[in-house]
Amino acid sequence: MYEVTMPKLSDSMEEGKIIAWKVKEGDAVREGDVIAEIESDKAVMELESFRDGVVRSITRGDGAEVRVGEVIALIAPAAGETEGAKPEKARRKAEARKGKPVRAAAGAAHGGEPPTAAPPPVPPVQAPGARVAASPYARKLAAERGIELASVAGTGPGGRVTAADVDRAGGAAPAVARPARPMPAVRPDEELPPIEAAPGEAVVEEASFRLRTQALRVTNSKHVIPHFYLTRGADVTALVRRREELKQKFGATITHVVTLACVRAIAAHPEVNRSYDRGRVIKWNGVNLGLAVATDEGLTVAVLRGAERLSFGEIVARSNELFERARVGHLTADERRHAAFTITNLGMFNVEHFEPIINPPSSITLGVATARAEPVVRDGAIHVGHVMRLTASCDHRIVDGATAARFMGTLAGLLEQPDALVEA
Amino acid sequence: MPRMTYREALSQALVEEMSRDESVIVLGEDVALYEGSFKVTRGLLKEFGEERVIDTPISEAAIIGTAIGAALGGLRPVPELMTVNFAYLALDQLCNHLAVMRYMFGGQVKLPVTVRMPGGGGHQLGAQHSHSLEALFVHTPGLKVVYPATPDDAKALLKAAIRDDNPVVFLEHEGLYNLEGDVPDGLDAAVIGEAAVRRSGRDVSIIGYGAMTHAALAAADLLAAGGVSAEVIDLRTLRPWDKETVADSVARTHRAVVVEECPPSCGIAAEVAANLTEMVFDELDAPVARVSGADVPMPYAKDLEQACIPHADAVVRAARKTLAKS
Repeated sequence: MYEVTMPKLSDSMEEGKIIAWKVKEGDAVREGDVIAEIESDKAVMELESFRDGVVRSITRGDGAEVRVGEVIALIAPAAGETEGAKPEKARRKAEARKGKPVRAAAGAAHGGEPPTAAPPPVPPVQAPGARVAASPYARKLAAERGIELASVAGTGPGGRVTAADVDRAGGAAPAVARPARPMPAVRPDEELPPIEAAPGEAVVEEASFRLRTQALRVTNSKHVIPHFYLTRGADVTALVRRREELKQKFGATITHVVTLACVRAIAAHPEVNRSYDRGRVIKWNGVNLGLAVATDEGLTVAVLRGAERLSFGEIVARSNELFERARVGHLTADERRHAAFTITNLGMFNVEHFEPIINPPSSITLGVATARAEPVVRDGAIHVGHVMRLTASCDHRIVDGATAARFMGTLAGLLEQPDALVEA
Repeated sequence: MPRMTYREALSQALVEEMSRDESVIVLGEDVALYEGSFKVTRGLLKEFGEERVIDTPISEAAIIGTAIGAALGGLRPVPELMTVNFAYLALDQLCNHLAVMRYMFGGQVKLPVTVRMPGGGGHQLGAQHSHSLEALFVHTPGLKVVYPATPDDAKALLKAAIRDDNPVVFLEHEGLYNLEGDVPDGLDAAVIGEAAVRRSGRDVSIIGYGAMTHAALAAADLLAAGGVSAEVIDLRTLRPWDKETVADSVARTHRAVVVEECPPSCGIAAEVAANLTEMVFDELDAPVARVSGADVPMPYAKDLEQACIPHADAVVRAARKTLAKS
């Protein structure tokens, strides 16, 4: 009997909601058929069957909110298949599929993290017991990159995880099966006194799944990560002067230029392209930039992966595409995970200065404010110019003041020389 | 640059060393008048005379025993055994005397003996005349073992072996005698114990020696056609073998295939594999693969014999397997 479990569709996901089953008990399914629609903390995804078989039972129905790793259906294998057979074919297919958005596979997803929810704690569905067959080099790579071996599909003999498999897992389809590791402390909601509105004083609703997840994330971030803030004003007079030209030539806005400048600055300062996690330093390969997007449902961060390899035109195109898809909730798992650096922009609202909350695992989250017309001092005289205040909220466990200051210096410098930046 | 055969390169080395040092003598069956069963000693009798180029009776034990005595007496003998298969008849002399005397006598004597023997199969000479015995000698403390794959190495390593004050087993391959290659003028003695990277690559290291180096290189060409970049290392010396060069290579490529003509049981590849596991375990993406001669007495029938000797396609298969490709 194959267990279909709630898959882990993003690294922050702890619970998923079954929007709708697309099959019913007794239906025959084939590997690859869509069997349900699942809502994760940020998007709706289609769940596929990893097996040929018959749906024997659906244990959680439409609308159910289920913890990651819990069983939601059982599929009886098709005649002729043995239950003990390793799903090698299925894993290989999963890899072939990894490029497609909005798909996740059932049957391979297991495990979850122990909850930080209110008591009583629910134990993880699958404790990681069995040793994973992996080559020594694959183990080494996985350890270096903070990838859980159990979550990597192995294509070596007997399903052994090889180095190539770990490479693929670095940017692969939804990571499954994290081992049970205790989350740092708290649901701080519990520490605040409850709000008791008198009848008629307010309308009280159940917070949406998304909102609850968001609340948990930002609270944990603020609670666990020691933030410090560093502001640098950049003289963007020259950049603002080129605003029309940028629009004509590249279809780009000032925001795109700021994104480009961040990519270059991060590439020049690899020490900010790192994260701290439970006593380990994670040094990210390549620049994966999180771009915060306001959507109807709240704040989403879309991740522009491998930005160091993109030209300015590609950054413009890619980020626009990400914004669009983020607004309608159609980001892929890849586009939502592991932003090593996040940019959030409130310039369009004329905000002069703000200090964002760090979006983990970024060690710096940059708050970009408006380019404000101000008097600026140049060569001892006052001129009319534009100043944009950039505030870096930094994770002091891994970034110190001097490091952040040097980075901001580079960033401001790039923005103050837009000719060199954009033409480069 | 002069081009010559492996055989000619060996001859040149002998001529040069015998000219340079009059204590160097050559002895063996048919080496003088007949000029050697493989003609490596052609012209030596004429040039250096019968006191230095000696035909022996058909007794391998006597050949090696005489060489040992001569060495103890101050000469620098280069005995030839017609093929490595006949070394079995001289094992007591080789392993119980030549290999251990310097140690047993507390270093009081030198044994600058270079034992030359061609080995390997492929000529339908049957089970008794097709052995590859390198593992036997590599297993014997007190001996150095050298196995050149190319004409320039044949010359440079023979010169080095002759000049070495220790006993050196100098293995040749019948199938390589006619191999042509560039041999620079004035080529000096090589350093015993150094391997050579014959071809650089990224994805897998193929380690070979002697005739198997050429199978490895041919395999690398075939692999390249399939998009796999193979690094080829020629061991050149089998005892002591160049662990550092091999380990460095595998640490970079993460996969290794060792090719040997001898059977796999306790062979050269097993020795290399064990050391790689010790030295670069965390870099291995797959078990060290061995491509060996078949673990059977060598057949006489042509097709069967060919099936028992490793060829390039077997190396290619093994290499692709380390990459989890079929």
